[in-house]
Amino acid sequence: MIRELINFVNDLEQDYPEVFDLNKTPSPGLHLWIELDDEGNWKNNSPIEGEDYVIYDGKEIPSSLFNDATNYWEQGRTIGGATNTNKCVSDKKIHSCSPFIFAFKNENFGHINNKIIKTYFKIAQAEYLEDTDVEYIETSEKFANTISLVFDWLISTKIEVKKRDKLQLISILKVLKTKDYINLYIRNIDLNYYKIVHEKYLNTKLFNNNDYCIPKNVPIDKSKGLSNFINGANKKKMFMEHKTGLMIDGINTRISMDDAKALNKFEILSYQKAFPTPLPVIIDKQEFKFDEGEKITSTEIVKLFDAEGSKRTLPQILKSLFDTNPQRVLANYYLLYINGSIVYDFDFVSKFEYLIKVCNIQNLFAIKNKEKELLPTQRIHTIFGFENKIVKEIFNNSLVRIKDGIISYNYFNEINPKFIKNGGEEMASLILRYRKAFYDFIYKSRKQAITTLMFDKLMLFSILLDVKQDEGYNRDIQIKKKLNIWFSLNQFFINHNSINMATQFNELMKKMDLIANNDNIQLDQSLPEFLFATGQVIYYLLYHNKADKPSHAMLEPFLQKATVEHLQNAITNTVNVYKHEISFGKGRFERLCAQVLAYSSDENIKNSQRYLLAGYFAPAVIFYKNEK
Amino acid sequence: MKTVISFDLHADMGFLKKPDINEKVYLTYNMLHKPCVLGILGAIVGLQGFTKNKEFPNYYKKLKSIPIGIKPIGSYCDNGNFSKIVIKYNNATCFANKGIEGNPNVQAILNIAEQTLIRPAYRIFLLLDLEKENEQTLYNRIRQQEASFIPYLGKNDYSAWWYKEDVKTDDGAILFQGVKEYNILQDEFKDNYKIETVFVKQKPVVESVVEEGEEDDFSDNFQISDFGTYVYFEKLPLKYNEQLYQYDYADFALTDSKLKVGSLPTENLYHIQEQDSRQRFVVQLN
Repeated sequence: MIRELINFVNDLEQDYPEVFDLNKTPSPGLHLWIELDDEGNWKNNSPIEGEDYVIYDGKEIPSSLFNDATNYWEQGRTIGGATNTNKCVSDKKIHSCSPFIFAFKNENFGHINNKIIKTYFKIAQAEYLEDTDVEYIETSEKFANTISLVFDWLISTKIEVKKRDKLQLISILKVLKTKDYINLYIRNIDLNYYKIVHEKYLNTKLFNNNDYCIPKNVPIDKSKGLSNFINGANKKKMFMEHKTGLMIDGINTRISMDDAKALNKFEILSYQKAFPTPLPVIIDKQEFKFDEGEKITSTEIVKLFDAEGSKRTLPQILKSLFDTNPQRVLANYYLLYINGSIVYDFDFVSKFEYLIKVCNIQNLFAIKNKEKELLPTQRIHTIFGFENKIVKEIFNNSLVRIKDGIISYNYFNEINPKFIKNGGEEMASLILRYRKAFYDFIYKSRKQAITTLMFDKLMLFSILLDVKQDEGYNRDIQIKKKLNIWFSLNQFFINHNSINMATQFNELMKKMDLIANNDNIQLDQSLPEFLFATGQVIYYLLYHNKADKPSHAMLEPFLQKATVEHLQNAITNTVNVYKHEISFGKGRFERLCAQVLAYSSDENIKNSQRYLLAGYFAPAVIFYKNEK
Repeated sequence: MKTVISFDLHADMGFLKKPDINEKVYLTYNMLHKPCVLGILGAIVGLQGFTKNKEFPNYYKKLKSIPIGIKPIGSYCDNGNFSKIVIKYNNATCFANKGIEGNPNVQAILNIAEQTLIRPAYRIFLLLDLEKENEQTLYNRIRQQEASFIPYLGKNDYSAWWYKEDVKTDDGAILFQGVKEYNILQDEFKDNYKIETVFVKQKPVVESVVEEGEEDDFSDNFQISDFGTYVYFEKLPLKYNEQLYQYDYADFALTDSKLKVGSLPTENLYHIQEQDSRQRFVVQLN
């Protein structure tokens, strides 16, 4: 994986170097520039806010000092921000790594003594300055000697802060939060030299642990070492060690310093949220046979991610690219799903398919809008249309969530059933079971990921969940939407049966009407016909229920039946219960019910439950007017 | 005497560990690669595996010169790529995790996440020199469906199998081929060719693929299927680096397109003909 990411970073450096400057912000806290005179005295003692120091609360910083704070801070931080204490120069409390910077967390202020300061500067000077850099060493020493004065200033200084709409004088140390940083820089040194020194630091600290570098007799940056990118030595966890194959000193993979630098850049960009998730990483841009304008590159995707100041999702980016030119091609890439330092998925995609073939959701179950008009057929043309309209519906707005017009996805993160409004734990379990398949189907164009068999099981379970949880018909539209999706898309996925369920549904509806209308027409010896007719009869029977809150959940006892006989018995019992409510005489119910009760078969009806559901939720032919 | 044989190796799941990351999740190669196949061949012959740091195992020393070709197969293979899923499990013995942060004396449960291949299957081509004892043994055992140790795809949880004879579905389609033997044909590769196996790409494949619209399109030799539908890429281990004791990598590709004459060096290319069916293939054996 790391080789592909290294190529990706190198391509970004070449094609879009500005990305490394985007989203850069200094750490929250105090940023103070110390200026020394020729004798080494602190020249700007009593520093002025806005000129010599600035306090960044993580939200706003005066623009004049913003770049300065960012640039200086960047040249002094340890690897991985200031969190990786294994990369500290000396004491783990000091998180800077330069002889010209001294940075630590506010919470450690009382724990830093002269000994810690002296040791830090001694090591930093020895490691990152040459013996010939006499002038720089002297300046660094003078800077070290000034630190105690700066501490005095920090203790004594109070600044005006607006609190409860009043200006109050508060100690600078109390203005800062405990986790905020106190960053001290020396102004007498040119920033370019800070950069040179920081490069030296990186050259010795980018590997996970220099003990594993080989060969031993060369400078660290000329050797090969243990990668620090999502990788550790893990001596305490034997299954996490590099036990595969051959090893030297227990390590089986070493990388060069150049590769380590590229990976570090990727890590920083990743933390700065410079990429969409998931991120297509093009394998080799030379492999494109398309013209420049037709191919979609990783760089172009990263450029568009933050183009208008607000982060866009990958679907939004790809939609904008394909909508302007549907002929464009995104191919031969690894799709990386990474969140912080956790890789969730990394897989090859040979070609992304944006447009999808016929995907029309017919309104078979006659859903009406507020104006009581039948909803038209929903036509879906793109894979993201499929995601936003169909996947959202199937998983009750919990895998793909649309709230206040903002779309969010949960293909890999933890799922908390508490936040699933409709379905709770059962829906959470359904999402966990199927979400990877949908992710592969949508983002990797992997058609095999979802088969008709899978789709059938998923839809049945999802609908049964709604039926079970229905109260006062509050899930009626939801169920019908799912049935529309199920019956319309039966042939959309990789197919193991060739039945067109939408056509079959229309035929069944016609047949039901004929049976209900004519004594001479009978049910064929077909389980779908029987179950569909049964569904119609059950709906008619339960329609007469006078409960305060009638519910589709009453269908559930019928769905439990495994044989035709048991189902017929249940219907007979229900007819007995509601016989006083049913107006016999018009014939439609009698004809249909008689046919259902006369049917005979030994087949297990569990596998064909969809027809029972369809018959129940379809428009009820028993309520149609008789033909004359 | 040299001969080429092939057998279809398959498993319910596979995990061909990538050694480059080990935090939070382990990733798998999609394609079987030569160092891994050599381990499987070692298990079949019964040669010793890894025992010491900085020491090549017996099987590697004895079998590394066997040229090997690999082709992904099976209904779970999508243009060379297999479905993958991340399996999370715990090692609750408390022996696998010798200490948690802040308290190194307390042993803890270890959480492991592994990206796993679903139903991986590969056709493996071997060029065997039957005058060498180990290769003769290998030849016999593969044909007899025998092994000294049970071969597996990356982890011993994922046993790998092959068959002597073809395995067919109810409707007669071949699910897995049995062991096949091939004759090596003399060929200077002066015509465009399609490669069955994954091959090392020396230059961008796009420059080598024969495309529709090229001059030769109208010759009788070309069929619609010659203009392929995909190219699969993966950086895969080719062998062990004998100084660093780690994998040496090469850029591999797999395509259903024809490649132009001279696209690849011919020394690893073999034109082979199946002895039973007389079908001909070009494979790259590395």
